[in-house]
Amino acid sequence: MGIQVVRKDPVRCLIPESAMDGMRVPGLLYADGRILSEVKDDPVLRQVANVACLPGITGYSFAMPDLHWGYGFPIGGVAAFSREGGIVSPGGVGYDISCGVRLHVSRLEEEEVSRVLPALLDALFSSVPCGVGSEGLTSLKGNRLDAVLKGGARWTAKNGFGEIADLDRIEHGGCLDGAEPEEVSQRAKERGKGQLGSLGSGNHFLEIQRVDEVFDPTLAQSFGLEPGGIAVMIHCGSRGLGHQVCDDHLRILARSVSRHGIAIPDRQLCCAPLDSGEGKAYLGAMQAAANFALANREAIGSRVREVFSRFFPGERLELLYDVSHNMALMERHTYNGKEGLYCVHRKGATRALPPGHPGLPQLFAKTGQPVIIPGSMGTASYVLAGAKGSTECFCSTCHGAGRVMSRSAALKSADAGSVAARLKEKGILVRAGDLRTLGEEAPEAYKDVDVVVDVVERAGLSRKVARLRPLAVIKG
Amino acid sequence: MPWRELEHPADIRLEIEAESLEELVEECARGFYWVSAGHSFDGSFYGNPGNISISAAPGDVEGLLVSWMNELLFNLETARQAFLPAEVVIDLTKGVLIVKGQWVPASGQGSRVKAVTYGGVEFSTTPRPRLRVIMDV
Repeated sequence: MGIQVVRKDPVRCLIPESAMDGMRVPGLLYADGRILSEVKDDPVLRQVANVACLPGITGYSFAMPDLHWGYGFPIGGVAAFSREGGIVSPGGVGYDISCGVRLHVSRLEEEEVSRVLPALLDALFSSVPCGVGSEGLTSLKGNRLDAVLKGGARWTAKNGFGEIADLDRIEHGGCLDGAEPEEVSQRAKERGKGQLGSLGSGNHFLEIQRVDEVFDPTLAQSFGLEPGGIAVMIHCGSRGLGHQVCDDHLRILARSVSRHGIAIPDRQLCCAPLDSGEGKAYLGAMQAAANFALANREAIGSRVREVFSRFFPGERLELLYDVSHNMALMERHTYNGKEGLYCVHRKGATRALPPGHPGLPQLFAKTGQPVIIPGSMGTASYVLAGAKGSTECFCSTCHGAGRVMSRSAALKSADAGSVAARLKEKGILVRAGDLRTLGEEAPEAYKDVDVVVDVVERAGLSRKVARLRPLAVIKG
Repeated sequence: MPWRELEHPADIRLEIEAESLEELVEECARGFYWVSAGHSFDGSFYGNPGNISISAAPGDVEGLLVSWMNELLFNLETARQAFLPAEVVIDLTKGVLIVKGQWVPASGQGSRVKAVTYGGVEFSTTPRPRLRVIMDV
C-alpha cells in the first residue's frame, strides 16, 4: 500500500505521522505537482517515513525535490537528530561520503575557449584520471594517507596538490577537525591509497561550462559569474575509501543496534546513539573519509588549473566554492525557537547557510553560502545561494537533478554512441572513462533540474544566482 | 542465467536464484562479476588456489551473502583478482561461510560496483533460495 501524502502548499507535501506505525515526526517533501506525480508510487516515500521512525529526530523527515530511492535514507533526504537521545546513521550519509561538487570560475569567455575546446578537453581527459579502476595522481602509504585523512584539503594545499588560498572557499575550511584516521580500517585505506586525485566512475564528472543566464546580477558579480563567462565544475567524492568506511561501520552498527534498544524498519538504517562508542567511531571515520573527498577535489582542481594554464597563460581559475552533499555533522541550529546541537544528516542534499549565518566564512557573510547544483549530462547546472527559508530544514537544499530512470532502461533507450551524437548536435563535446556510463547517464534518465531548482527557490530554501550550460564533459 | 536485473532508479538491483544455498553463493559471485566487470571469469582456468572466510551473526544469511560479495569487490578493486568458487561450506548456526576456489587475474579490471549494499536486501528460500540485492555503481 502507498504512503499517504497531503499537500500543504504548492511546493510542500506532508507525510502525516499516521501514515506508518512508528513515525515520531511527519515527513516533509518539497515537491510541486510534477515531482509528486513522479514519486507518489515509489518506494522512496516509505524511506522518508522510515527515517521519521529514528530516535531523536527533530521537526520532520525532510525530502528535497530531487529525491529518489536510496539506501536506508532516500537520496535527497535531510534529518536532524538532537544531541540528547539522537543517533547517527551511515545510511543517512551514504556510501560516497562527502561526495560533492566545486566550481572554478575564470575571466575567459566562450569564444576564446571554443577555439581550443577539443584539445583542451583531451588534455584534461589525459590529466585527470577517471573511469572504473582509475588510479589517482599520487600513491599514499602509511602516515601520508593518515595525514590526508586528518588534514583534508589543507594537506593537499600544503603538499603541492592545491592552493592555500582555496581553503576559505571550501566547506569547513577544507578540513573536518573531528576526523579520526585510526577509526578507518586498513581495508578502507587499501582502497583509497592509490585514488587521490581521481574522478572515479558512475555519475561523477568534470565539465567546462558557460554562464548561460544570470538571475541575480549582484550576487552573480560577487561570485565572479558573468554572462558568457567560463567555469569548470567538478563532481566526485571519497572513492573506494568512503565506500569501505560506510560498509565497515554498517556491519558494526548492525550488530550493536539492538543492544542499544533501537528498532529499525530497514537494515540499512542501522544507527547508534550519538554518545555511544560505535556512534563516535563512525563520526570520526566518516569525517576522515570526508577529508579524503575534500583533498581529492582540491587535487583534481589543481590539475585542471595546470591544464588551463598551458592553454591560457596568466589566466587563473578561481575557486568559487566546494561543497559536499553526503554528510552528517554536529551543527548548532535554532529550531522552533530552541537553540541546540543537532546531528544533521544530508544524503543527496546540500548545506545552504543563509546570509548572516554565524557558520559562514566572512567572504559570504552578506551573500549567503554558494550552493553548486550539478545537472544531468548535457543539461544545465546551477549556482544558488543559501536563503533565510532554509532554516525550516536545518539550512539545507537540493543537490542535483535526481534520477527517474533505471540504468538498464536508460541503456535501452540510448546507447553511448547515440548519446554522444546527440550531445555533439547540441555543441557539447564528451569524453568518457567508461563508454557504458554515457548511455546510463543520458539526460532523460534524470528529473528536469530546472523544475528541481524552481521548487527550492519557491520554497525559500535558496535563491537562483546563475545557470550554466555545458560546453564539454568528461564522464567518469 | 540464474540472475537478472530488476528495476532500480539509480543503481543495479540484482535477483539471484539457485537450487541450494551453496549454489546461491557461487551464483552471487558470478552475478557480482557480471555486473562489476562485465563478465563472469568462467573461462579462466589458470588460477591459484585459495580460501575466503566470511562471518556474520548466527543465522544471518543476508549478512553472509552481502559480505561475500563485498569481499569479492575488495579483491577485484585492490588486487585486480577474481575468485572462482569451487567448494562452499556454510554453517548458519555459527554464521560462517568458507569458500574454496581459485584466484584468477582480472586483467587490470577495476570494479564498476562501489559497494554491495544492505538496502532493500531480500533473502527467501521458497520455492528455492533467492537473493535480491542492490549494488551501488
